[in-house]
Amino acid sequence: MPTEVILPRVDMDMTEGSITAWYAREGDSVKAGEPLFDIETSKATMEVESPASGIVRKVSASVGDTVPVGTVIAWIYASGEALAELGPEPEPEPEEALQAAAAHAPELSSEIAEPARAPAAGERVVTGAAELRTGTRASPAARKAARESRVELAQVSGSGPQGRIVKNDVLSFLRQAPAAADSSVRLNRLWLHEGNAATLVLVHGFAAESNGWRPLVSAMREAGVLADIGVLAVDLPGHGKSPDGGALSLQQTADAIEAVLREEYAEPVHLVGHSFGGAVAAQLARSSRLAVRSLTLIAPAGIGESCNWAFINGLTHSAERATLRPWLEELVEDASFIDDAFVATAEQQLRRPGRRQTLERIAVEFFRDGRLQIDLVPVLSELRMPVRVVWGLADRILPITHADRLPRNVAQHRFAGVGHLPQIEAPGAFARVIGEQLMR
Amino acid sequence: MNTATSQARELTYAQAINEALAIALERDDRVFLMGEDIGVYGGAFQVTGGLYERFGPERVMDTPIAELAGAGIAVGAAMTGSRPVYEFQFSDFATLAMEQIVNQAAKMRYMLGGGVSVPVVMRFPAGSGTGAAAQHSQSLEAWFAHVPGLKVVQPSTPHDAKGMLLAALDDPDPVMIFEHKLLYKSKGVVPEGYYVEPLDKAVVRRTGEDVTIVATSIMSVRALEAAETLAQDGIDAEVVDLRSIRPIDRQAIIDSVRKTSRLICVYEGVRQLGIGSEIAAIVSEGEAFDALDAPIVRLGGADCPLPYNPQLERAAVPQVDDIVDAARRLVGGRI
Repeated sequence: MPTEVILPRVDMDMTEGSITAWYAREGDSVKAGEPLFDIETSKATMEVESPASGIVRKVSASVGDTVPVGTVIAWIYASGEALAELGPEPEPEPEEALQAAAAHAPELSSEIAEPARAPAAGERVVTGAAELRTGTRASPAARKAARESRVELAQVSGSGPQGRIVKNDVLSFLRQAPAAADSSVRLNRLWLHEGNAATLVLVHGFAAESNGWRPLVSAMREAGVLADIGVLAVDLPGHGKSPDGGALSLQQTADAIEAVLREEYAEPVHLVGHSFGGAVAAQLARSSRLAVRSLTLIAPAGIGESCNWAFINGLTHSAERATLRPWLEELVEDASFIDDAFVATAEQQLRRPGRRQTLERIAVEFFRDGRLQIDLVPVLSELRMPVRVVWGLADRILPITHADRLPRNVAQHRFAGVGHLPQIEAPGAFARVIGEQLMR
Repeated sequence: MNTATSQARELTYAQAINEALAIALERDDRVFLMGEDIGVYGGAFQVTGGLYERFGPERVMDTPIAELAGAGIAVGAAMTGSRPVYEFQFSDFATLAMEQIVNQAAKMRYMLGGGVSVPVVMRFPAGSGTGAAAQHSQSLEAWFAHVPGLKVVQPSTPHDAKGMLLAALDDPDPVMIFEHKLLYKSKGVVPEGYYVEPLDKAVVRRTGEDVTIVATSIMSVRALEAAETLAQDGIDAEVVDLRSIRPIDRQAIIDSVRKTSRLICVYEGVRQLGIGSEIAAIVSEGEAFDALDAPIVRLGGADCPLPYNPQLERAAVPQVDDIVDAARRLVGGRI
C-alpha cells in the first residue's frame, strides 16, 4: 500500500499551514526520514520528513498553497507499486486526519521540539525559528568570540561546511551590528608592564585602585622576577576609573574581570588579589575557564568571620585628610608608610562622584556590622592551581588568626612586623613570593 | 642550544650521526657502539663507516643476529657504568628486544628506588619509502612513546641528528632515537665539534598565521615543502617540528594553535592511536581548545601493513601533496 503524506500539526493552535518548499518532485525517489517539504505556520517554519521510502506521486499542494492540517498532499509509492493498482484516493475523516498528523510528527510538541539530531551533510538547516537552532554548529573559536562579544550564535549564519559558524562569521556579524548589547560593566584596566609570557593580574582591595600596585612592579624588577611577564591591574567596579555597575555579586564582579582578561588576551594568568580583591580573585580562579596558573592572596576577605568595621566606616565617611589619615594608618604597622601623598591619593579617590555610595553598598553587602558575608574556604579548597596567602602578623583590618582556617592546599607566608599591606610594607619579600608563583 | 665554536658546513644526516658518534667515542671512554654489521661493514645504512678502523673492535662491536641479547647487553652495560649505543639494523627488529627495552631499561630506575640509571642510547632506522616491504618499513615510535621511563626522539635534520645524539649520550636515562631511512642522505648545515640539542623541545621551522602543521621526522621536511606550495596560494602555514615525542613539547603546540586556530598533524606511523591522536588531544583538552576554528586534521599512515608495490607504498603514508590538499581544504573552510 502506498503511504499518504499529510500536512502535520506542528503546534496546538495550528489549523492550517502553507507549503514553503518541496525537496522532491513528482516521480522522485525518497527515503524515509529525508526532508520532504517545509511548512510555515504563524509561529514557525518546520521541515517535514518523508514518512516512507519510495516514489513521490500525486503531489496535490504546490509551494505557496495553504492547506488545512491533516490534508493528504502527496503519496509515497513503494518501488514496484503501480499507480493503477490503487483505487481513488481515500478521503480521511477530519478526526482521523488529526490522529494521522500526530502520528506522523510524534516528536513535535506544542512548543516545537528541538531537532533530535544535528543536520546531516547536504541537509538544509531550518532557519527562522530560534528554538530550532539550539543545536547550532559552531567552532570553539566562534563560540569564544560570541561569548566575549555577547552575540547569540542563533543570530549568526554559518559559512562553514554544513552551516558551521566559524569565528569570521561572528566577526562579520559584529561589523554589521556594532552596537551589540553589553549589559555588564566594562572595567578599567591598566597595563603596568608589557610582556609576552604569562600575565600577572592584580586585583586591589576595598577603596583602593590600580595605581596602588605600581610599587610592586618596581619591587619585582629589583627582585629579578619581572622578566617577560605582563602585569595587568584592574579597577574593581566603582573604584579607580571603573564605572559603578550597581549591586554586583562576587561572581558578577569576577565575571567582569574575566571579560577584561579575555579582551586583553591575557592568558595564561597568575592572579593576585588583596583583601576584598582577594575574594574576587579566588572566585574568579574557581569559576572561570581561563588558564589560571596560580593564585596569590594578600590578607583575603572571606576566610575568617569578622573584620574591622570601624575602619570600613571611618574610611568611607571621613570627609577630610586630617580625619582620613588615622584610619589609613590602621592599614600598616609602621605609620611612616602613610605619607602625605598616600593620604592625598586616597582622599582624591573618595571625592569622586558616587564613590562613597559605592563603598557603603559594598560594605553593607559584604562586611555588614563587621561580619564577613562571604566564605572563601570551600572555594579555596577546591582550587587545583598553586595557591599562596600572604598575611601580616600585625594586620589590624583582617586579623592573622583568620589564616588558621585556610585549607591545607594553601601555602601561607606570615610576614612579621607587617600590617594589612605587605605589598607596600615588605615589597621585596612579597615580590619573591610572586616570583615563586610565576615559576609555575 | 650550545653553538659550536668553529664553523658549520654541509653534511648528510648519516655523516652527522657518524661525526657525533666519533666525537662521543673520542671524548668519553665509557662510550662504545654495538650492532649488527656496524663494524667492518659500516652498518646497513653506512652510518658507522670508518669508526671500526679508527676506534677498534673493543669499542665498535659487531653483534650476532640476536636483538634481545644485544639489547640486554647494552642495558646491562649501561647499568654498570658504560654508555652504550646500540644500533638496530631496522627499527622493525625492536619487536625482538621489547623485554629489555620496556621491562628492563625503562623500569630499572623506578624498581630500584633511583639506585641505578640506565643511560643507554638505541638507534632505530625507521620508516618506509625504500621498497623494503612490510617487515622493514614500519614507524613504531609511538609504541615506545607509550612507555614511561623512556625518552623518544625523531630528529629531522642533520644538525639535530648530531646534537640530539650527543644530548642522548649525556642523558641519565634510556633514549630511543628514531632515524627515518630516507633522511640519511639529506643534507644540511652542521656545526663542527661538540654541541647538544635539547631532547624535549619542538622547533618552529617556519612561522605562519593560517594553519599549524605539527609534524614528526621526515614529515616536517614534507610539511616545509608543502608550506612553500601553499604560500603560492596565499596560505601561510606554520610548521612545528616536534623532534621529541616523549616528552612532548605541549606548550609549543598550544602556542602555535592559539595563533593560527587550525591544526594538521602529520606523522608516518599508523594514523589511529598515533602521535597525531595525542597532539589532537593536547589541543582539545587544553588552553588551545577555544582557539580552534575548524576540526583537527590527522594525516598518518594507512591502516594496513606497508605494501611492497612502490605506488601503494607511497600512497600508504602522507606525501607533500596530501599535506597541501588538507591545508587548502582546511583553510578554505571545506573541512
